[in-house]
Amino acid sequence: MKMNWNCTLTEERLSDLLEGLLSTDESAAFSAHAARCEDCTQLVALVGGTMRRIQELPLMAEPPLLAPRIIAVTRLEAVQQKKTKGWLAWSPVIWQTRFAMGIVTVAATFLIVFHAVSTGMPGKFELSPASLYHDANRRIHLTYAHGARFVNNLRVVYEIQSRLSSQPEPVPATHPEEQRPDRNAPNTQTTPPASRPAIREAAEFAVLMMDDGPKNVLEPTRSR
Amino acid sequence: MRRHARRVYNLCYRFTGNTAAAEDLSQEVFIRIYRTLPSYESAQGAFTTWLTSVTRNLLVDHYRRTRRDRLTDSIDAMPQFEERPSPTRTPDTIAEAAQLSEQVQQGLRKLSPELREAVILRDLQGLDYAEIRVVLQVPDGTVKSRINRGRIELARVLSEMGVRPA
Repeated sequence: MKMNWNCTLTEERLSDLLEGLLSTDESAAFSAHAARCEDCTQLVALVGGTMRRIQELPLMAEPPLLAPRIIAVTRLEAVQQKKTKGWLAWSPVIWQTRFAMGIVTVAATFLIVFHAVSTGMPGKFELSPASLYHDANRRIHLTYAHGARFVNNLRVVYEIQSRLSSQPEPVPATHPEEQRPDRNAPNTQTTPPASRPAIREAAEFAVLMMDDGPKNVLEPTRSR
Repeated sequence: MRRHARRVYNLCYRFTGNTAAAEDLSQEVFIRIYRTLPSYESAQGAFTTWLTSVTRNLLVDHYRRTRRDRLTDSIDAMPQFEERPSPTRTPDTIAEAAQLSEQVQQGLRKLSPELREAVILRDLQGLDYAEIRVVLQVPDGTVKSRINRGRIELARVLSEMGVRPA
């Protein structure tokens, strides 16, 4: 079957034609078309001739300093990479479980100790040994004074408790409303005696009233 | 290294048309090659193809980066041809080649980037179709089509500039 060739095909297959990639049938069809089409012949001659000239162009010489510059920059890059690797060489160690656990434990210990010693971060001037000593000394005395005051308060509590328990049972009081239906009936209802939880509650209330909190612990002892 | 440097420099110059940019880009290509050398596998293709791919990627980045600058582009100093003593290379032929090279460069500037890179890779760098397909990461048909259209356009532009075909 004879192949039909046209000008569009010449443009589309020009590179194949120039590089000898057309099949025998395609080459024959192109030759037949080119014999009667001057435009296609001129196009093939123009593109083929120009490409040949371009392909024959030698490579341009690179600037003389380009190669030394590339070598210098690459060496610098190598040195920087080595430095970076050197700095980070230890980093994989800390990602091991045992080291990570150790670091976490130490951090937690510091946190707990620091929290116990101080309620917040020490200021800039509190880091001097004298400040630290005075602060620790003050805290110890505060704690001691607080403890001593607590023991003294307990004494008062026991005293109140003993007095309350030694008091005679109060006379039961009747409610006027309850007495109204039958005035002549004998009085059988009485209020219960003060129970032990009530006494304890009174004692605790007394402690609360007497205890001014840790801020005023160092104040002179009030005369009782 | 020198052989590859020349190849990379030529590719950069043909694409950018600027010797200083070509020099900087060549340097950048080799730094990138040095950094990514462990990722190169010979199974992926020849080293030259990989080198060309890296260069082409940097050129595309550079093209996008300097889109605004190109509007006020000035005429750049012409690159020098290698003046190797040869019986076939007389001063006349060297001068003629330099003139043709400059004309080709001007013609390439008038092509779209897609057509330009296809023609440069095929006709100035001498890569085969398979290598160009790897470098450009486009199908075979697209490679052929771009080369074909690029060649026709370049030949017409050069013809208008007075370049005679061989």
